[in-house]
Amino acid sequence: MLIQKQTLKIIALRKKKVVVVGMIVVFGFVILFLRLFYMQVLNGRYFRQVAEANRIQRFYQKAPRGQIYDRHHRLLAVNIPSFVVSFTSYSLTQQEIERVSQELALILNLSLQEVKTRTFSSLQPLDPVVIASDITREQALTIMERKASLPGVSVAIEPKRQYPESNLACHIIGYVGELTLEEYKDLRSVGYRIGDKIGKTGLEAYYDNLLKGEHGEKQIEISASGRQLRLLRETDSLSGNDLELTIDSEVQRMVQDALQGVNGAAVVLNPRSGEVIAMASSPAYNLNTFLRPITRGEFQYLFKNRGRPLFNKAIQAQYPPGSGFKIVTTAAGLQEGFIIPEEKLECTGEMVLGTYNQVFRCWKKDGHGKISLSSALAQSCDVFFYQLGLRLGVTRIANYAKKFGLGSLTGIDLPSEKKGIVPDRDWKKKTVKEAWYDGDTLNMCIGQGYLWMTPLQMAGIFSAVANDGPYYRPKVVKKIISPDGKVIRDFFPEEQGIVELDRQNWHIIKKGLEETVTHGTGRQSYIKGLRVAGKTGTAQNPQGIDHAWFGCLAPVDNPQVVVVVFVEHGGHGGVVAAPIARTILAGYFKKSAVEGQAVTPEEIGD
Amino acid sequence: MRQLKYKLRFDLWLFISMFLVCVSGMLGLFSIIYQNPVAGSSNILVKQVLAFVIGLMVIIFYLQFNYPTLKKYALGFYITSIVLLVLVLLVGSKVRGVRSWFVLGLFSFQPSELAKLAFIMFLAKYIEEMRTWKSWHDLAWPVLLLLIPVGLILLQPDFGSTLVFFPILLVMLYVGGCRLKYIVAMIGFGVLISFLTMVRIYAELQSTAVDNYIVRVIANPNYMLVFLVALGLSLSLIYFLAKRLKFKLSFKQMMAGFSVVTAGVLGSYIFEFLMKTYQKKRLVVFLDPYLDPLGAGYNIIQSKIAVGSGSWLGKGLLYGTQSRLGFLPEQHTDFIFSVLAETFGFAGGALLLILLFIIIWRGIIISNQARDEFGALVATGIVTMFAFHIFLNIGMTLGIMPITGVPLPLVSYGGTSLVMNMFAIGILLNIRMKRFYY
Repeated sequence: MLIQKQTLKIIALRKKKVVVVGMIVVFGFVILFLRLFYMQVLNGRYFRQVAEANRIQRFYQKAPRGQIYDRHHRLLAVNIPSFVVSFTSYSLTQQEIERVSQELALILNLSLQEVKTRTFSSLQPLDPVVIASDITREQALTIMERKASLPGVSVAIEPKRQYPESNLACHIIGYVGELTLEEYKDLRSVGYRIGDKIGKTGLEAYYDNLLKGEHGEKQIEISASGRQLRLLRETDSLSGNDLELTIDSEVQRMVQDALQGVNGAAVVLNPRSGEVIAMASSPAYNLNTFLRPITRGEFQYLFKNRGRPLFNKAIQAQYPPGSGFKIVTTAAGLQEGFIIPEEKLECTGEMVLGTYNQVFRCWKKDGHGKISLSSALAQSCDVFFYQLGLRLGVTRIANYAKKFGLGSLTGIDLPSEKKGIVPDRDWKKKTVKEAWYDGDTLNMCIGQGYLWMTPLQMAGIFSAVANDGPYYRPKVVKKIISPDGKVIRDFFPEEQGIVELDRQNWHIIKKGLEETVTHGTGRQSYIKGLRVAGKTGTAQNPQGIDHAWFGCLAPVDNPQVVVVVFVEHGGHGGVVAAPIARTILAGYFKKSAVEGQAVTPEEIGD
Repeated sequence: MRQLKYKLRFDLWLFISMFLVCVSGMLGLFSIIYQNPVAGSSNILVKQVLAFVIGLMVIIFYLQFNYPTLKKYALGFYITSIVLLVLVLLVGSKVRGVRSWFVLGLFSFQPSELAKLAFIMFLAKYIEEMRTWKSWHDLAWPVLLLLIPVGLILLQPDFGSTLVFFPILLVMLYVGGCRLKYIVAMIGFGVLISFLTMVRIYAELQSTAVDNYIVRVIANPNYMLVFLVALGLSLSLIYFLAKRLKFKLSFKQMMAGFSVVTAGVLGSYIFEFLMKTYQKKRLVVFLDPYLDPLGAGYNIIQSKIAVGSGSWLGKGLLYGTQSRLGFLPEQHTDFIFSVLAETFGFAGGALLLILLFIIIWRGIIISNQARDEFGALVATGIVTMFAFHIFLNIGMTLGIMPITGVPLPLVSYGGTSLVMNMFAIGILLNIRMKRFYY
């Protein structure tokens, strides 16, 4: 009886223990159940997307970028075929990848480390990674011959950018480069992929989304062993759109030659439409440099040169305009009635101003004597304009400067344009934290001091003069043409602004400017048989040599072209910039650029 | 009369659940064959069906017997399985680097499956005859009984198949009345070994993990030595302090605790030494599949995608993209649950879990209804074997358990495994039917 009781107790204990085991099992099943629910029900949508992507291998066919050609359809940017090696690690073991990397490094003449960082770089084993682009034909053939021993490696032909005219219009065209990681983060949503080329500067950057075209894509369903089962979808790549420029490459070449050896910029544009016929910045650089690994020498040249080759001085250099600005002061004075053409003012060579007896000099020490407005323009007499400037006051001068488009972007279809500065009382208070003095007005009315503008803005002033008021937004692209030949964008002249002056006032200004070329400071730009109206300018540079300006339009009776030349640290405008302008004008109008009257800096100090 | 008894005593729930689970496995194989001819030839379905029929016959045949007769044959059964395990090392066929099979023409036989059942029976017999547990010496025999087949299977080497022996031993000892402290010590030893090994392997593979202070200590053998010495010193200090303060502290218990820790640490080094690189990776890669996205982690990533993308109702039979396109590895064996979950979704996966649970639950009830200790112990052992396989296999496909290559019982492809598991179900049915039969 006792034994039986004990036995029963033991049995009861055993049963309890079995129940404990059962509890543990229940607990395990609950975990499995919850995990299954979490994965399938709560995260089912996510996993389904992953599964969709999983079975599809995507191959991309790079689209050829649109071509760029000048107004006479001379090609400036084209595409040439190049060989690209890519690698898909799928279905390969670690050792196999290692071996393939070694062989590739040998063929491609790259370090093993370099190749391996790429072969082992993709987490998505289905995504091909580019090992090297632009390999030689021999390398490509070697890889194709050894295909059997190089599993996962493929060679494809991809379009590659090339600039046949190397440095021609380099600052306008710009270059392409590989998408950086930051750019990729911003642009992935609009279809850019890692390894894509993107325009970095110039038109390549400005019109990148129109030039780039669309990638072709092949979606192939594959098996785990990497076997391609069937083609799911195939879209052909779509070429980018072509750009037809307003640039005339012959003129452009001539302008670049004319600027050879100086640091500066030149703009040639049609004042009737704003079309830029040539725009150069010197020194120039070879666009193709950026399409291959850059050499040390090239790097030194591009980034360390004081002339800053990558900088488009025509739209990015901001300097005081010097006497070129006197056109604006003249226009304001005449239109606002602060001077009449017949009035003569006395130039003694200097002007004493204010309680501190500050002396403001004319460039001509002896003075110009009694001088009229048009002569003062032609001789660039500073004292005359000092007096006129004082009569006008800074506000009116600044207003007219703005009417001529200064202080704001011209809106040319190029990136990174600068807008310059038109100073006035508020501006000075805000920026320099000082009151505006009459001395500032004197500086400003002859184009010195705080006033800043770009060569392209100077071209705007001469365009307004050429058109008797209106001036047009400068542009370098004439048409955008789709791959099937349709014009998808056509550019018509677009008024950028208008300076409203009475007709006779424009006439007086033009007369003064023509006189500048025939008898005045711009004699170095004189060409026999061509009526040129121009203005020299010398931007004072307290730190060193002055900057030289020359702007002009021609022919006076029916202006076809505006030319602006700017030379950084060049010296006097009439001596340095005017001759370059003459070369350009002569080339443009096919005239012989006979030496005009020889002049010295003492004769034309402006 | 006899017929009626049959009806009453035959556990229909258990049988039907087992039947449906087996059918679901065949459905999985069917879909694999049709979806991905590369992964599986139609042979595997035919073989599986054949094994199922054999299994049914084994069940029917065995129900004619009285289960206590197993006691008589337990020793013979155990010795046979050991002999077969030795033989397979000598004359077995190597499949994917593992010498686990006897190949006889079209059929193959895996003795390790037999060894699991033999171990359960012999252990049950041993424990029942033990009656009272006097000291830890009584544990020596069970551990030896475990080590023989485990050692032989490790020589194949089939790491995954050995794992199930440990929980079987622990649970059966526990239910069989072994002192709880021994069980706790053994569990502590096992947990320490696996934890330390996994942390060390993880630190080896994932260099950033070394930033963690604890990981750094565990990963460095010198630190571990320092730790052990410090633990020993502090324990003796505590012991002497306690003695001074007239606290009673068992010296034996403290020594036992210390030796468990020491053994765990040492064991983890041996464990790590025995494992091959790929096995190490598989053990920890579930913590972060991207440690080895093309190797071991690949299986987990793809399995999780397959299961997860099944969603509520699944992609439908023959429409599972993961399995059809061959992204899933080892579809018909280790990852068959992923195939089913992808095909039939949460509805199907949960149903399968419930069916498996019913089998386990019936097993537990049968164990409690058994007329003798032997029956109860055998039933518990079988339940443990099933449950452990289920947790390890399904847990692996869901990415919460290491990859150990353990099949899903009754579902995964494998003739020996299926017949043996059905035989185990037959034993359960027999234990229930004969529960009033003395």
